[in-house]
Amino acid sequence: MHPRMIQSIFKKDLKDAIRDSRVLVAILVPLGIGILYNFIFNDTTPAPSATIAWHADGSTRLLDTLQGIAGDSVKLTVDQQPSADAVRSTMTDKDADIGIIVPANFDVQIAQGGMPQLTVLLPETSTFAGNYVAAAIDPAIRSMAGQRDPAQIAISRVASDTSSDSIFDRIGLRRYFVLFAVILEIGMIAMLAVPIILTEEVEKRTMEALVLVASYVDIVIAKALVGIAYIVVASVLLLSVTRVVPERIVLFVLAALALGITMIGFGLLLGGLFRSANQLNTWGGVVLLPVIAPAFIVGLPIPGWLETICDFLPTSQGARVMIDSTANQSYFGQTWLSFVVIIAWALAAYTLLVYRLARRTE
Amino acid sequence: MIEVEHLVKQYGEVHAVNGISFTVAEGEIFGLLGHNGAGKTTTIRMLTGRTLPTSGKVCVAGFDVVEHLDRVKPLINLVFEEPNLYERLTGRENLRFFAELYAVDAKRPDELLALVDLLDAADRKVKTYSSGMRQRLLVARALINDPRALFLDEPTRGLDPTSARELRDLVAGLSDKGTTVFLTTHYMEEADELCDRVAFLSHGEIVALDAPRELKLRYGQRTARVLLTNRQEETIRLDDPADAARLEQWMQQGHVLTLHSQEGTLEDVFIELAGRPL
Repeated sequence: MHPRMIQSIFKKDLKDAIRDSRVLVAILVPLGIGILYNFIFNDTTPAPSATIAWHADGSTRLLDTLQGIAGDSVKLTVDQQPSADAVRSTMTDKDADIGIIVPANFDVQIAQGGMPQLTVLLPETSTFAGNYVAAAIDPAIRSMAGQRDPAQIAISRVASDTSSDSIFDRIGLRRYFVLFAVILEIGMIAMLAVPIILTEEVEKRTMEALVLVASYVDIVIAKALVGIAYIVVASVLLLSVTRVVPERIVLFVLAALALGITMIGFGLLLGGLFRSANQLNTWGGVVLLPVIAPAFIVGLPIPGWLETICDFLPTSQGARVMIDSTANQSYFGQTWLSFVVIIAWALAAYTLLVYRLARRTE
Repeated sequence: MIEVEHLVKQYGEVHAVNGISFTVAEGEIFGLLGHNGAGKTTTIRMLTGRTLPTSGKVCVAGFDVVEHLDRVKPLINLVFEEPNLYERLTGRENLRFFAELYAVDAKRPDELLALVDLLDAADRKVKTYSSGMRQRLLVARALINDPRALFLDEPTRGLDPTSARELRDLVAGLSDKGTTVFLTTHYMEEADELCDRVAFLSHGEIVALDAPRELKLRYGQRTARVLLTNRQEETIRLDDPADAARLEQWMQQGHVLTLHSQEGTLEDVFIELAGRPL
């Protein structure tokens, strides 16, 4: 092994591969998917919101009282209208969830028991948030009238058993799908980009010129390092853009690296099976799918036999550790076992690779 | 510089190379000629350490290629038959990469680009190069480590006559400076012009090895072309007493307009030895 030559080949491959559209696509597609998922999904369900088309002749505490009742449950947006007709027009145009028209001296009349007429407008098909506001008007007015609550309501939050929560409950949809994109990124770099780089060296016979000075081991190590470099850069970029920070970052990095190194080993083996980089580019996706699919079914309600198969696969074990390190609590546990499985596959891949390389000079 | 002893390469039952032995002296230009499949490429692969011999021994500059490949690698280089360059890199980037691999002076790529007249195109990507420019860049790459032994595998194949001539002049110049050159070629005239010695390889075995002139004298038919006064052209064999008598008669009768002696060509020698032309 010659570190200086490995470094030279590594630098050349970084420069050369990024100019190859096939490699660029393999790197950018998962990055784009991850960013897209980041915008599509949320980790928590957002509170419903209601737009109130509002007109009041004079001042009133009704709006403040309604906002007090709604609290964080419904987000209220007030659309102040210049007249009662404008409120009606807004409702006709379906620009608000509820319309409220408050008569003059409303608060004074309530206080004096005058029963003023409050006009509430709801669309034909009302929204949950609109109905919520409509239902909150009565207790709001009673409160404004100084009526005492018939009972004291004590609300307290109770910690629930989270062991039966799904992955999505644990880490949130957005973070789950960003992780999906990170694993896809690792898979596409390891099983498409790196093999394309290697296969092209063989196809174009530049490998022959390389082995005149370097050894096959130098070349393969350099290619593997290129894959790791791309994985690190793309994953960091993806996590930074989406602002997904794993709770246990060291564990996450170790899992991503272990999975990346293992898959690169298989990617390099795969590279030796194809005659041309274009052939690999065409069919590599077919190979990638069964390899990477187990990563995306772990934690989902799958049959027991499938779960058992996943126990022995590096991608599913890698995904388990990465999910666990992203959540604040372990969902799968047995991290050590996951690493044992991944490392065993890595050893198998690189042993086969060394065997293949040894045969090349015979 | 190069010593080959009883070199054998066997693939299953097939003997690609079958016990060849030869030596190439320092500064010599040595040509290996043969049909496709004769074993030339396998030989060159074993000489450059890219394929392990089944048996036999190859030494370059005194180092066993199998045992001390790391010592041999810096001393040799090869001009490949195919233009195996990094096409998305520029000419200069290609040479700089190999300069880094061989740990040679950073100025060396530009010196070589100038030598092969590619300095103006140095920053263009190789995929925009013509075949002649690629071949020149291949030569420049092969000289990056200033090799003591330079191997050339069909170096002028596909080149236009001018580019081929330039390349042959370059190779001859290298030999003058002491570089040992080992080349395979299909072009007999090229081997005849360039090589100090040639070996004919047939079915993995060397069937003849000597200086081109000696081979031509040994195996070629010595003939002369005679143009007679009646504008008839005759070819006579110098070794044939009957032809000699005919020539003497024409001379005495004053029928001979011109007389050109013709030595055999390497092509003739090859046909004589291998049974068919290259």
